[in-house]
Amino acid sequence: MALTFVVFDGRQHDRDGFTCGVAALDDYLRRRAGQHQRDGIATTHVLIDDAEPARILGYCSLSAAQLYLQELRETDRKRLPAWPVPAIRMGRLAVSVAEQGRGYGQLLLGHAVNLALSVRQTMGMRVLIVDAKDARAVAFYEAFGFRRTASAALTLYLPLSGARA
Amino acid sequence: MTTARLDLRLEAHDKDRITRAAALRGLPVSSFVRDAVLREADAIIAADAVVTLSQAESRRFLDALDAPFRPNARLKKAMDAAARLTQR
Repeated sequence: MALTFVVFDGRQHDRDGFTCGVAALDDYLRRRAGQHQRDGIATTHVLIDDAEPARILGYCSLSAAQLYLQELRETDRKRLPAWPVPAIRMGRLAVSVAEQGRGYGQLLLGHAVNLALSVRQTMGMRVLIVDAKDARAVAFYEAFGFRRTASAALTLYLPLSGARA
Repeated sequence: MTTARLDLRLEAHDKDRITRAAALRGLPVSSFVRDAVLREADAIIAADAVVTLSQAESRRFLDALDAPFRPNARLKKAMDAAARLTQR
């Protein structure tokens, strides 16, 4: 058994066999992920075991986004020549119910951060944004250093400024 | 799961067209409309990629820009574990 990440391909991966316990996340993979990929809206990355490469263990989807800051002073504006701040958004992350509790969620998150950092070497980008589905997911992301965009929000961010230390 | 209702008025001939299309798909009109509208809503939300930070978080974000990215121990571990999978 060897786990690996690949870009979702509706012809290769069994999207109908995927269940994570949240209908909206299953539905996205079954009916919209492929379309979003073709239309250049979002790219879905799946975690698979190469012994059984059609079965999706988990997925995350990434898209381009923009981050706005409030009440910027003139001096702050000068520090942000790329405005609004270019961002990558992980709109969805899901792990198959059969595979939960094995750390696959954090593997997918780690993969998303690695991908964001590699994009950063190719084009300007300063922050990773994630959308959490509920308070539990918010706590999950906070444990990895993400911060809420506003006090009650389900959207969190992780600054990816400067070179990796 | 909690459910909600959505009522709307539309031209009779538009409704006929929707009913005909739903029949072609073999779906009840309600499922057909729900799926089509959800698909459209989802595409719009995905395309509207703008997120705004609160005022306090905006200040914090500016401060964070000065420091190089330093993942916390937990994130570092997850990133390293993910990197090992992709490098094989």
